[in-house]
Amino acid sequence: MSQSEPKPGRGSPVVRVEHVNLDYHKEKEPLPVLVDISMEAGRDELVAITGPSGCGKSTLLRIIAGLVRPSAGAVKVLDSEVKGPREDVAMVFQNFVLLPWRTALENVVFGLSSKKDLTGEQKRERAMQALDVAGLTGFENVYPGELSGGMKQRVGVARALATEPKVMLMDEPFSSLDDLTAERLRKETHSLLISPETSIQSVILVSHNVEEIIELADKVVILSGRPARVSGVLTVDLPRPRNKKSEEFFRWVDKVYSYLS
Amino acid sequence: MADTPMPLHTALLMPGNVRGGQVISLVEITGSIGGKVDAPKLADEMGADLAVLLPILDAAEMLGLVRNEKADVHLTELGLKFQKTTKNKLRVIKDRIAMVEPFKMALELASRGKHITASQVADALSEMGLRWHYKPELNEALIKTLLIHWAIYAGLLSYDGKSDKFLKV
Amino acid sequence: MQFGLVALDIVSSWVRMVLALGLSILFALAIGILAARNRRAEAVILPLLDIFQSIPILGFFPVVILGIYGAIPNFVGANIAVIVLIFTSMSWNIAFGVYEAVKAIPQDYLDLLDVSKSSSWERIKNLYIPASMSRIAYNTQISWAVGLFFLVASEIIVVGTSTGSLQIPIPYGIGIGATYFPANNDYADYALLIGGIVVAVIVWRYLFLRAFALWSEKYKMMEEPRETHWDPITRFYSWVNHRAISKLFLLTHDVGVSRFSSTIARFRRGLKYAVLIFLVLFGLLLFSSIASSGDLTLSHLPSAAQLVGAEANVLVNLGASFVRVWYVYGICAAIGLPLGIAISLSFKLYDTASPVLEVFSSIPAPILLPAIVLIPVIGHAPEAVAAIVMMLAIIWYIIFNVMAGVRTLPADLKSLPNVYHVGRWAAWRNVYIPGALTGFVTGSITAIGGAWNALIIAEYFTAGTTTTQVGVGIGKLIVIDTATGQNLSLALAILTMTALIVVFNLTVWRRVYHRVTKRYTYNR
Ligand SMILES: Nc1ncnc2c1ncn2[C@@H]1O[C@H](COP(=O)(O)OP(=O)(O)O)[C@@H](O)[C@H]1O
Ligand SMILES: [Mg+2]
Repeated sequence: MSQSEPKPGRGSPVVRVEHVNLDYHKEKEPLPVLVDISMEAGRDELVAITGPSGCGKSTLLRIIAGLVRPSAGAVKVLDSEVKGPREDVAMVFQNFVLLPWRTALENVVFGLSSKKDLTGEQKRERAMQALDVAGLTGFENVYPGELSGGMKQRVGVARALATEPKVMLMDEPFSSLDDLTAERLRKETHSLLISPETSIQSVILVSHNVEEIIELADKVVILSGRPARVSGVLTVDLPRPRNKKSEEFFRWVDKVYSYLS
Repeated sequence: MADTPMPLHTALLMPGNVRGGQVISLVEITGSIGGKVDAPKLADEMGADLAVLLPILDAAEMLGLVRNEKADVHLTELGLKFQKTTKNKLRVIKDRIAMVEPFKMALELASRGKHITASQVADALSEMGLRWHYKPELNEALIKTLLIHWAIYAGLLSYDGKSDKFLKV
Repeated sequence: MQFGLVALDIVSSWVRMVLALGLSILFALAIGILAARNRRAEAVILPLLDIFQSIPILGFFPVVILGIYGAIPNFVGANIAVIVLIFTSMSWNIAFGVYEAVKAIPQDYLDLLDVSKSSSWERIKNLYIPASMSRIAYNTQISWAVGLFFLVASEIIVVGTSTGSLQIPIPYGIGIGATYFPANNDYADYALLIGGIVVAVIVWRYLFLRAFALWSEKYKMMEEPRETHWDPITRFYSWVNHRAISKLFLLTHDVGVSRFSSTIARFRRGLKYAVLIFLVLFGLLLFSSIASSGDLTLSHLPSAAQLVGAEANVLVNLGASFVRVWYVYGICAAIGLPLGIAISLSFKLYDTASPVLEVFSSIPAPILLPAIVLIPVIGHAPEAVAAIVMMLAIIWYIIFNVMAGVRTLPADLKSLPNVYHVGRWAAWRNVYIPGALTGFVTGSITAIGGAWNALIIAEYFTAGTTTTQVGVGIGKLIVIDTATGQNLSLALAILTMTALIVVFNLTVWRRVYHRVTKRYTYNR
């Protein structure tokens, strides 16, 4: 939808990562993980971060989320500096991270705990809507343990959507799902998230699956090396829906691989 | 023709490991490559092993969405309609699902507003000699998963995890 | 200060402990392998082990000591009695470990031995024992802590029972010292003894228990992940404790519906025989004890009125102790759950608090009785003394299990309240408390079992000429009945208490445990 009718300001920066460094500390010795990382995610863009396993993708995402403080540099969301977890940023996890002792609905309502201006009833209503958008009508009173992986991740997505975030962060959201399920969820993701019906302005997706990235991303940020630096930023201008069998698609996949090594 | 009901003297059993989403994928992919494809190609397109594909194919055939003839998979008319539906696809084939076990038995037991548990469904089906697993506790767990992943989706049953009970919608 | 005497006390106790441990391992291997390889034996052994594991063994001790000392009335007999008691407290847990390890041997290995036509002994030597080694080592850790408690308690009971003409000759031991020094107003040496015990426990933990565990790693089957670091708290109390609780809880652990489970059915069938064997053993013990005291009051059967009267008295005492166990547990839970969560949520707190808690928990609670009696006001309130001793004996199970439970929650889950800006109270209510619940319940089951044991020593304690005793209580009744030869009342007391605990476990606890593990176990 956003493709056919680009809103004014499409591409204007929503998230800005500016010269971020991060050191972890191992036995008092600083261990650099990220060095001078700069990147941007624009309005109505889905930006993918990729890189070899253990290079610091999750760490970068956690910095953007405000969960980890960078050792140097800054992250800005809509021009205000990230100093801790923010209400306008939501996160979807690889392992879903649902509360097994709460039903699907309760899990989504839990994500709304901080919304003090909503009554309990309003939170439930909003949660129901989010579950509906995520394709979980009828599953409100089911516990996560009774759901398959794909459905669990839908609850995770619903929980994030319900908070009406401006930025959605996803850390390998499809990689613990089986291929068929992942495929289906991927198909829904772009249109679901980058649509005028949601509050979301930018999506940042971490993934090590290059085909997944080319299928979904408007822009790819490639990290490599140890400590990790940005080794490339590509704007994927393939039209949607993208045909995974097309020659163009393969060319893009190869291109990303060439930056990775 | 394409929608000839399956003979009903033998019970239809939904394979324990097949989920609605997989059948949806199968129909969509078959549709996207012209509505007719051979099974190995289909498996390849779906990115799944033939061994994974076959039970899904069985399920789709059982629900009247595809026909499997001489190793070729065709979409039926219902399958085409199913493919074109955009939201809540399983609701389109609600009546079909209601003819397959364990859903049929669950609906029967839940008639007239009764709250039922997966264990009641498992017991009733076991009496008829229908089992998904030889270990009773796993059999029950499989039935429960099937009921959740099909009957709720299709809008046949509702479920309350707190009491572990299903109710006819 | 009498360094030599203190050292002698510690060394004597340690020798008893080591002998009991050796005995326990041998027993565990025999029983565990038998149960794992023979279906019929399994059906009886499992419930039998379970009964022994869930009853307050300490309640039997006065009978055991009189029974064994009666048969061998010298230094050796007295020591055998103490060692048998420690053995009884240690061996079940290790036996379960062996059983599970042998059960878990992959079929391929068994096939291999079949093909090579190995004899039974070769199988035991080359496969079953090595396969059990790492479980033995790990279960030994908890067994050692439990055993230490029983050692001290039994030594103290020996002193308490040695009155008048009956002088049981056990001159040295930490429990002996702990009563002897304060009784002679020698508090400097009492303090030295406690310090010595703490040092001994910690040195032993690292020098022997840890080394044993690390050494046993090489026997681990390929499938198990290797331990990369040594975290005494979580490892010691959770991993092992999880296995130290009644198997009745664990048998149907993963299964939603127990009524179908074939394992539980087999277990139920075996339970009858197990109860029978248990009663026969108990009868023999009682008979030996009576015979040794030369008082054959039971040779003429008690009248119905006597029986009813004695049982009524037992029930009153049992009721009082039941209330005591639960209110003490309540206090421990109210402290232990929030404390355990708070500690494990902060890395810094965890790192500082763990060693401190480890030292405190390593002190066997009964040894502190003389010190508690000294506390002004509280020392003169026997109810408070009993409560404190019981608390010190059991609160660690709750704290450590809760800590372990929270520690094993994934980091993402712990950061969830942050990501979604959830307030502190909502985070505790929705994430941390539910996340700690499985560990909490496991800890609670162990704690309550421990509380019943601690009763025996907490309700009635003699040091020198002073006796601290509660008004009514089953522990007090058992000790007094033993000392005064009230055999009928004693037998009824032990049996009624055992029955109450086993029935309570089978009904209430089992249900609670299943509910909690079904809903509150975190597996994504
Ligand atoms: N809390 C931490 N303390 C120390 N090192 C860490 C911590 N978290 C991650 N690391 C290290 O930082 C590197 C990057 O980790 P991560 O961001 O998870 O990588 P990716 O998501 O790309 O696989 C890894 O080498 C990892 O071992
Ligand atoms: Mg990662």
